[in-house]
Amino acid sequence: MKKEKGIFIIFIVLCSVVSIGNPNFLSAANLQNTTRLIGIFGIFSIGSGIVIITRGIDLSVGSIFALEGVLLSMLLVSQKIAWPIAVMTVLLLTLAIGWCHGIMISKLKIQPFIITLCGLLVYRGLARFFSNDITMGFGYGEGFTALQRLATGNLFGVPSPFILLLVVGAAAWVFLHRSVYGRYLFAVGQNEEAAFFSGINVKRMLLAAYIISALLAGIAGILLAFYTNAIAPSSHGNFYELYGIAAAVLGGCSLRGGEGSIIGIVLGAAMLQVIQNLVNLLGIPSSLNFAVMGVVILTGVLADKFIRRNKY
Amino acid sequence: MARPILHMNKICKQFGDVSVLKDVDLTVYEGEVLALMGENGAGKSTLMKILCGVHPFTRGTIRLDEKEIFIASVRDAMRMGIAFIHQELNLVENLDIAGNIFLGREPVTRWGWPDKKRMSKETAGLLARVGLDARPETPVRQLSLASQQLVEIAKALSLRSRILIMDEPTSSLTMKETALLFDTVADLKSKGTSVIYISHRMNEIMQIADRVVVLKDGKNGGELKKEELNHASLVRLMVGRNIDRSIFASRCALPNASFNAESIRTHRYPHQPVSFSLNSGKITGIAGLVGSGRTELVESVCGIRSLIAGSVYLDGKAIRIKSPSDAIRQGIFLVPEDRKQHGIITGMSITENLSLPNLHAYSTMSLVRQAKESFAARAQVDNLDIRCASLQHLLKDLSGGNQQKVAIGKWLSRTARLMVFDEPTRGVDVGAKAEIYRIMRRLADEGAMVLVVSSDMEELMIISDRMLVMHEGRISGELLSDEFTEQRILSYAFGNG
Amino acid sequence: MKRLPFVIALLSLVSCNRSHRPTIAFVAGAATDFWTFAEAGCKKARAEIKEYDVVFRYTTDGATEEQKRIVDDLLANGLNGVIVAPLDPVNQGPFIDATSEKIPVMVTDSDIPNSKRLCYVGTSNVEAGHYAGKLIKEALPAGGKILLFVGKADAQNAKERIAGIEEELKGSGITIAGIRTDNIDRVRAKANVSDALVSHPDVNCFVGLWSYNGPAILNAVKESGKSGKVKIVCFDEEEETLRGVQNGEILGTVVQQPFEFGYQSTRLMAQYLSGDKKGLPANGQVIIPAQVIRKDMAADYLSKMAALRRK
Repeated sequence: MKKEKGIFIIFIVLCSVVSIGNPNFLSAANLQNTTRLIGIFGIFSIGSGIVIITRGIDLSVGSIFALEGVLLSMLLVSQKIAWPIAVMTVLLLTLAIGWCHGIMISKLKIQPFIITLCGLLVYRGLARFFSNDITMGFGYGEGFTALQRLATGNLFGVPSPFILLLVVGAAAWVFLHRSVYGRYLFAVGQNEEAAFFSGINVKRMLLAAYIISALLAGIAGILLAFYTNAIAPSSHGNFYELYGIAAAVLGGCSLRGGEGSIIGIVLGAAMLQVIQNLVNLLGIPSSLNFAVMGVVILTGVLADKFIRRNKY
Repeated sequence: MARPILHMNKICKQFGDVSVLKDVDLTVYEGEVLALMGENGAGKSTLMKILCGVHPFTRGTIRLDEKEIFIASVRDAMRMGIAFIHQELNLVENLDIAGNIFLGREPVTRWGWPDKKRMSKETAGLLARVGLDARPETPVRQLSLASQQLVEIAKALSLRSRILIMDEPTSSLTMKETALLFDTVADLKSKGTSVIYISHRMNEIMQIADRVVVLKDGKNGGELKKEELNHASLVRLMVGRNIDRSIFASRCALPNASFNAESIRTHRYPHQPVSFSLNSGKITGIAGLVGSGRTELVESVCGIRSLIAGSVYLDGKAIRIKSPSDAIRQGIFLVPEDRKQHGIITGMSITENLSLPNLHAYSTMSLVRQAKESFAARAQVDNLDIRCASLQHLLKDLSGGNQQKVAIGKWLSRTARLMVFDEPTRGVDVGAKAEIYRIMRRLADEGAMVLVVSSDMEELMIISDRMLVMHEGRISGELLSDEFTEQRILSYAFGNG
Repeated sequence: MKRLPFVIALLSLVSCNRSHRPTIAFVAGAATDFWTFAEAGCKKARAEIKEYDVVFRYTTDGATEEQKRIVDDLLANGLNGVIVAPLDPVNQGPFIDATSEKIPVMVTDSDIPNSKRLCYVGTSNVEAGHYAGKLIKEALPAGGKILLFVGKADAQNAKERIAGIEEELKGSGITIAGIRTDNIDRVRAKANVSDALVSHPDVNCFVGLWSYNGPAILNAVKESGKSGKVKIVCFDEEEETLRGVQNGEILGTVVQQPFEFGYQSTRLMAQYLSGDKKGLPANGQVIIPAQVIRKDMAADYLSKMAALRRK
């Protein structure tokens, strides 16, 4: 818990500040709203973090949301396909996207920034093309109310995306911090060549990382689609990959690779959502939304460095 | 009698509550070559870092020309005429020679632009002094390692350094280049520059040093003057005991395992088929000049690179090695030449490094059992006498010798059929060297085949049972231990015989 | 010598383009449903006027530079007349003037009265704001507080609508408690509403100014369980909005008939290019009246819109 200590402290401080400024922060309704968003953003931030640990990056996440959302709407509403099949199809698509990224990065050795940047452009374009730039909606969910309720409902008062985040987070924690493969991922991120010399199948680890990132984006994308109940293909998910990267970096993942923790990433994602909640609850003008986020992130990173240095 | 120019008196240095240097005295005379030796952890690099401005000392005094000085930074040290040439050279790859030499202090023309003509002229003069035949506009990345080193020396000279500290300068040089370096050092001496020479290579020190100062456990451990210098006295001074060739002699020969390479060709020398055999219980050395293809050969055998042609047999059965994991599965392990880039992961802990190739053995259902892993790591640390305060320490905090022990130790939890060492004792102190030789012998005694690539002929002659010599991609000669002489080895290395 | 075939290919490509009919272009604002209806209107117009080609373009993220780029590209490809929906009417005057020196320009959705445009085709956003204000007064007959939700508060149409609302609400005892912006991010739009429900429990009427704000408010209010307690007034005709009006969850929506924007402007431009200048209004404004859609008209309107979308 040493690494996460810094961001945990900052998170607690942030929450305290907000609840003092507006006690409604701790109201059931607000906690539900905020944890719902933390769930959605946390899930794909974990994927972003895993890729960053391998010294890579995934810029295509936001556009995956758009393409996936458009396809989901087409399958469920226009084609009226049974929702389990539609969900499976969409997740298989994101899996395939992740596989393509991974192959090009590991076998062809093209830089992840470039591959995923192309992904960002291509998937957004395809989303707009398939939908003709029309907003695709889910209406009242005729035929898939179960799915809608699953994606947007609560379990014992806790929003389902947050519960899903806990499940995904636990699995990711075991994978990254307790399994052999997590150790291999860190080794690859620290020093790809030395990992290769030690017999690690570097190509396979990189492939796995990008598949995980795209798949988690796929899961989060379904939740996101039902959150807004509509996909505006040109703007849906725009720049969301930056939320994932910011959460990962806040949570201790170094962009140089080889470092990071799941708990940190989830805390980072939580912080970003609390900040946005804060802007609304404390009556700060909406235009300063991003400015506040930037300042708090910077403060967080600096404070984290300070806290860690003091222990040395 | 030369006069002393530098006095370091009762220097103490503490990091936290660890005392690294205790009352160390060092005197440097004008125009002398002073060799600084000592086991890893003895404090040599800390002392030199204090001298060149990286660390401040906790207690003590430094006097330059009888005046007390305080070296607050590297710039300060450079200003006072103290320059440090690191083992890993500090040149900027994409600049040319002149650019590197004048980095940060480029002379400017009237208009404020860097005065290229003046830089060129002065650089040419400096290069002539150090004996480097290259144009000042040559980009340094085109130069050989040896030439780059000479550029560093030229840079130090341009800073009018009076004391030059060289850290393992010959570790990447061929014999010819080493000889050139020594000529340059002799020239520097004659012009009054003093050189502090840190090295573990005893024959070099015996060649070049006027005096030898030894540090042991952070304290002065003795001094020898040129006349008193010989192999035995040096070793005794440093380790406190003699290292005897006889303990490395092969004790038993288990004829069970065998390795055969038939007409294998590497990418580097695709037209040279190489064939050789190894038997268990024997240490085979591979000698040769830099560039003779030794590293490519062993890397191809161990799956790092692919072979263009040829076959490889283990115990008579043909095996295909397409990747390091294939080799590892067959029990073929490599301790690579480039320790920091390939042999270890500097950002990970000792435990993590030691367990990396064998992680599945410490896991159930792919989940790592940390107790089991730590236990195995502790066992290796004790086995190899790796000096560290805790197993959680990152590799980057360990000395070169201890890092190399980890690079070796990661394989020892598995059974090695063929263990390959590429330059195993580069940058390693004498005490650790002896231990590494012991490890090699033990492996051989337990039935493994051991292959050692080294540029240190003395080392190969000490530990090998037989030697293969390579020249430009092919095996030019083979010698048994009773035939080992430097002349024969060199002769094969140059392609004769 | 190797370059010759390439040059020939290039030339033939260029000359190939010249053989199309005279073209009219419609450059919309951000890619929202609102403009999809306008596109349907343009398509209908194209079917009626045979001599002209009609081209429709959206911008990706509502940036004014993109509108300029699109117009420049179209000009280079041969354009005879253009209708632009300026995203930044205050500052795009010079752009309109520069373009109108090459070809005739009409402006839609937000007017730039001092520019050299031929005319303006659209609603008066201020008038639309007044209609919304009337709906708000109906929602809060005893007075109260309202919150406004919009993409960008500095957009011209947003400012005009707010002005219209404020004028209408004078003396009514209803105050505007705040304006929340979401920068065209639907997730933000909904989150803003959820947060507002928590931080302003005393506000009983939420007003969405852009087309997607309506559905965002609707979803958030439904999720919080406050349907019926919080009244919703919004603009434009997204499908969810219309359904919300139909179900009574939204009091009413002010629609601008974007279909007419597209249809009428295209026809007018075609007329003008063919030499018939009579169609141009004297005061330079073709006002398409805004409409208020309430529960009783919702079903009708829904099917009309669905039909248009299918085209």
